Amino acid sequence: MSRVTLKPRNAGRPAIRDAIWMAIRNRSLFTIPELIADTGQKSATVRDYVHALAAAGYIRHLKNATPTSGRGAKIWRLDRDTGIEPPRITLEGQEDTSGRCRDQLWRAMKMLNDFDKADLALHASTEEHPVSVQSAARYISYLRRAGYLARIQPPQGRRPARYRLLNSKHTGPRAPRLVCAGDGVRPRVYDLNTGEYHPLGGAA
Amino acid sequence: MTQMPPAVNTIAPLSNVTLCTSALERAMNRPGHLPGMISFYGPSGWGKTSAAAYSANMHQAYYVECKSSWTKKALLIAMLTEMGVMPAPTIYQMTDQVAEQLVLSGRPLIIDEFDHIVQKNAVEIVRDVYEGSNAPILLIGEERLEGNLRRWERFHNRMLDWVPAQPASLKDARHLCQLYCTKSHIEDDLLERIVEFSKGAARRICVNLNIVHDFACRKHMERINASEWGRKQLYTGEAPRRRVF
Repeated sequence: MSRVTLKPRNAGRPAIRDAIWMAIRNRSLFTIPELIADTGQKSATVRDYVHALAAAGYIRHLKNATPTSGRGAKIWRLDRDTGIEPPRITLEGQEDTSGRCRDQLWRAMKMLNDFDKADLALHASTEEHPVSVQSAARYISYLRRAGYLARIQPPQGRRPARYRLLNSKHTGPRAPRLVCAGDGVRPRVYDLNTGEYHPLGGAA
Repeated sequence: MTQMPPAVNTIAPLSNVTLCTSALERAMNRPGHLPGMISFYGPSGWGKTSAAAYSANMHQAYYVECKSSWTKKALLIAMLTEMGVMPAPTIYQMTDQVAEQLVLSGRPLIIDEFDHIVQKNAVEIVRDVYEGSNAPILLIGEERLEGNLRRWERFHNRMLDWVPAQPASLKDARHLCQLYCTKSHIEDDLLERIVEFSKGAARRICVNLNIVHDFACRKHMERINASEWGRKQLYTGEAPRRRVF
């Protein structure tokens, strides 16, 4: 069978963990200095993620292997390849559920043809990770200002406005999120699927 | 405020949501020798996609909704985009990519509006993806899906289960009322009438609940029953009858 390659769509502009995970998948046997060279990321960042992956059992340290590069750098092996998306784990190797509500909102948006904030919150909620109407409204508001959503029906009296995710904005599995990085940088929506930033337009 | 809302508001108790989620879980937890595709079918407006949204969020499923204009290639590109994978140039490589990502991630795949694919003869692509991954795949389609798929015998044989969506019941209507009608309570006798008028379609029930709820709110009624609603119009989804002047 031909070897299929899974290259992420955001490969041109990967997020930090995407870049590290991609380098790990490309090599399968690796050392931390190699990853630093491959990704150009800070050594502390690479090291933190490698240790988190090890704690979560995705990679393993080979005890009896001779280092091939670096001065006596430990050799690691990819044990559990979960595909294209970097495992979402905390620095301690626990499952990181911090973005779960946003993921669920994004998934529900892609599935529902049109929705208001209450519909969206309901369809995005599970018992384990409930999503409030306020969170749904906030997510709608900034995705709309970033040009992802069209308002297809303005609010009428008691009925809230209805929205639709534009077809061209079904960008992928990762939920776009609001980032406010650095001083004097205005908040923008960052889409991990494409690696693009979208400035927030007019008032919500 | 008439009632305390439950701790968590989800659509999980609706009958079609339960059906869909348990079907997907059956495919995910099946013994290795059993086939892994499930089809969930029923008339439009019965809440299949809604149900799938809940199941997809429960199990972080990949989801694609087919369009009538799609070719085999379009289907594969849509699946790869949904997975965040850069599509390879040829159909067979893309098929392998989809299968590989399904195997590695262990996540199920949900394909909605599957009828479009049946008409486009792209069914074999989905079978290839399934053969290459053994991943649980949930197919959602209209009422005639089963009949249409009969033409594809090899496909038909890989189905673990055929799950028909159910018409909304009074119990479903009660739950929808609890979710959507937060300011005024609709009594069972009126709910029964709404269910009857909506002919089992959850989407129409929601429209009707909205109409009644708006009315009750305007009149500042904390609860409303069938006699208070009287003979006012409910939405049936049918075009109005011709009126002769």
